[in-house]
Amino acid sequence: MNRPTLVSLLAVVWALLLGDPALRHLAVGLGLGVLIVRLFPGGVGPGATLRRPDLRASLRRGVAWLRLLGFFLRELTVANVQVALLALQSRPRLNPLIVEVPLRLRSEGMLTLLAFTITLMPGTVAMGLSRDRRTLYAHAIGTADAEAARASIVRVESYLLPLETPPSSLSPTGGPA
Amino acid sequence: MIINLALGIVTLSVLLVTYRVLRGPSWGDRIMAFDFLSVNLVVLFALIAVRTGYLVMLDAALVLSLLGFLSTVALTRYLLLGRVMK
Amino acid sequence: MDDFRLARDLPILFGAFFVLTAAIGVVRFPDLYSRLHASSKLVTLGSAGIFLGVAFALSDAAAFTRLAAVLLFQFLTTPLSAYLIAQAAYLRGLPPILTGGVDEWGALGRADEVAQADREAQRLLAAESGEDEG
Repeated sequence: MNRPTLVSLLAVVWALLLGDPALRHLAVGLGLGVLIVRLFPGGVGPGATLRRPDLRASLRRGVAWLRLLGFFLRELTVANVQVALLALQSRPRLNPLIVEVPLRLRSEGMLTLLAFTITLMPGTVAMGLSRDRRTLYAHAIGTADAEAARASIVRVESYLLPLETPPSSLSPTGGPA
Repeated sequence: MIINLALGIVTLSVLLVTYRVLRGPSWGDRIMAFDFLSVNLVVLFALIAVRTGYLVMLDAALVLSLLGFLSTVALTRYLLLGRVMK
Repeated sequence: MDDFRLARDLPILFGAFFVLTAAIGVVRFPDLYSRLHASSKLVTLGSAGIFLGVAFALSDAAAFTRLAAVLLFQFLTTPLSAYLIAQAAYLRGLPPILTGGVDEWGALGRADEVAQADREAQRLLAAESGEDEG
């Protein structure tokens, strides 16, 4: 997450906590946000500089975000109903298994978003990443077999791929080692 | 009144989760149940705010949800890495 | 007036149902990893429903922003704590019940390696900051 996004997020959270989104609270929140980001520079991810805005690309990214949001809300509802049914059945067929998924995503932010999304998706909970960040491990219940669980995670990943910033715009070293 | 019914349902769920906290059997189950208990209590506080009209309950809910997450992070970090901060 | 009451009551009942179902799942499912499914997924719709109903019932701007903050925060943290608990339990060697197939991770109980890597990273970080200061 880059610096301006983080600072404005902190300002909004500050105003929400005060229970009054007035302009002066937002201003105080902005000041506090700058201070916090200055104090904890580790919170700002690699490649945290403002890029030149490209209208075409940002429009595409906006559409991709909206598609992800729609997909996410639909799957969230399905997941809730599915787990509720499993919990209320007299003899639930959980069929638990642990699958590994080779990852195409590379950036830390997108990996976080992937783990977040599949945990709220039907059937899967993220459990861990391999040391080289190339493989995701997930626990699955209520799926037919390992292939089905893997396929559902790969589908989420394909929604996230257009959101990943291309490697050329990342900082050359790829952040702190 | 529907609020009373919802309060009853959520209290029942708090009791069920408390059973899981006490029963375990592993510490992982206890951390999970404790985390879930804090979420349940946040919901309960929100309902109590409606029932009594004390809006202060919402602040309590907010602080409780922050503390619940922080304690889960601290416990899992301690059990996995043997350290919390330094 | 009648319509307004419907907007308040329906989400609250809906949410309370999901919260109770999650608790039933947490008590009934056979092992920790399955219980995490119940506690992480069901609670999102459950608390969203209850907070929506509470917001309608209170209909107050200050209450609304606080409820929005709590809901946003819970939405962001619930999956993260599920991930952290599953990872810590697995690497610490809590065996999952796997009737459905094999464990493709195969790192059960390898917390020591992770802790070792963490200590090395800490030492590198300390050495770096020491150089910066000196």
